[in-house]
Amino acid sequence: MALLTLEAVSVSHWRGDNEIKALRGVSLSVTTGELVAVYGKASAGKTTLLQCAAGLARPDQGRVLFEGRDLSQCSARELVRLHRRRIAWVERSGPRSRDLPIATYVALSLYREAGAAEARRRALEALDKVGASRCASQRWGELTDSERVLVAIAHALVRKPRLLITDDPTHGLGLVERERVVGLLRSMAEDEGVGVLMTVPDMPAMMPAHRVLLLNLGRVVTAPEPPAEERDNVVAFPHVHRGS
Amino acid sequence: MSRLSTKHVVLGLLVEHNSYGYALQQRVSERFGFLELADSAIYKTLERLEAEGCVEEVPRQRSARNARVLYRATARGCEEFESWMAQGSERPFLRDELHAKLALSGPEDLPKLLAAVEAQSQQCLADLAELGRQARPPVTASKVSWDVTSLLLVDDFRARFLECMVDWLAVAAEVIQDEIDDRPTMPAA
Repeated sequence: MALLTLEAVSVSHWRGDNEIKALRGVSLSVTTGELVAVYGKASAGKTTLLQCAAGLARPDQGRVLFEGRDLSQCSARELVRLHRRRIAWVERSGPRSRDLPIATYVALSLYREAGAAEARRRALEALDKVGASRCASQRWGELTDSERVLVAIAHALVRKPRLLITDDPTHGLGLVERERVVGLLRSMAEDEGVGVLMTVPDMPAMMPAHRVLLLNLGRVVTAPEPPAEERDNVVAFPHVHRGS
Repeated sequence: MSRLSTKHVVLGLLVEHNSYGYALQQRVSERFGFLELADSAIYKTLERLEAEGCVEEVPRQRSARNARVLYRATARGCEEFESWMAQGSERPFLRDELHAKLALSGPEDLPKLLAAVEAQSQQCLADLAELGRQARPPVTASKVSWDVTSLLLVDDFRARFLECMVDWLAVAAEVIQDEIDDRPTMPAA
């Protein structure tokens, strides 16, 4: 069963008397262990799409189902609970207090339910999983852009969510850092069984995704599904040494 | 895309290390997912390179059980490869069948063109997904080797090329749709 399903979702914004149709009948799904990437230019409706998927914006038409549950039917309290435990939004803006050590920032959301020691242990574990252990005792201002993304992912993953939503996680990153971050999201999906829905500012960032979608003028374009044998036929990466 | 020199692809692989013809075909497919060379094309290229003195057979005893020929690059081949490496590359040529259809289309063709534009967008996404299914070097270390970076760079170009196509197709779809909307009596696709 799909973890997340958007069924013919339409959303309009109003600027004065002008209706801006951000999403026009968008349908998509994300299953457990799957990384789905959505590419679109600025104003294509990417952020609105993610906000609907997270239950942060209600569609004018259509439904958003998370684990079979219509998010627009959830009360505010139920949504808060879902965001605390099941749906994680990767927040790249970092802690409000810039003096907070990164390990404490990542552990923050667990303190109440798990206690300080356990929260810290899980925060260090999450930082280790994303390859950012070295950042544990640093402050947000001391991190590079790619380290900030890794910490943001750890901050979201520490609560062991079922669905991870991230808006342009590769924005501002270089070639290698971009590859590292999206590769990490893919392995998080596969190894942790998390469904990941991300938007990307350019198509190279989509390559490691399990499925790629194009959002254009509020509509989603999908690639035709390849035959199963082609999907599974991944070529081994060769190691090259000239003259050896 | 500009024409890729099969000769230099094969020669470059032999400069890296000696290879059998069959192994060369596999290495081409691993290293250049977008380039598929048939057996015959590989052997034809090897013959040509051999005639030019760029590659040669590695002398060794062959048995009835092992009749395969191992090839290596000669000094002249290495020189030719280095010279090719130093040359400028042709720019990709920008032409597409859709461009000809657009140029030759009339108002009655617009719904068909719109469908063709949408189909081409889907094909671009399918091509991108195919790129993603090809070899992806795992990038975990903070500093990666040039072998990995160079492949990432080539993939980056291919994905950005598709991105340009998709962006242009979106513009084309919008313009064609506006034209159709301005003509309410247009036939459906």
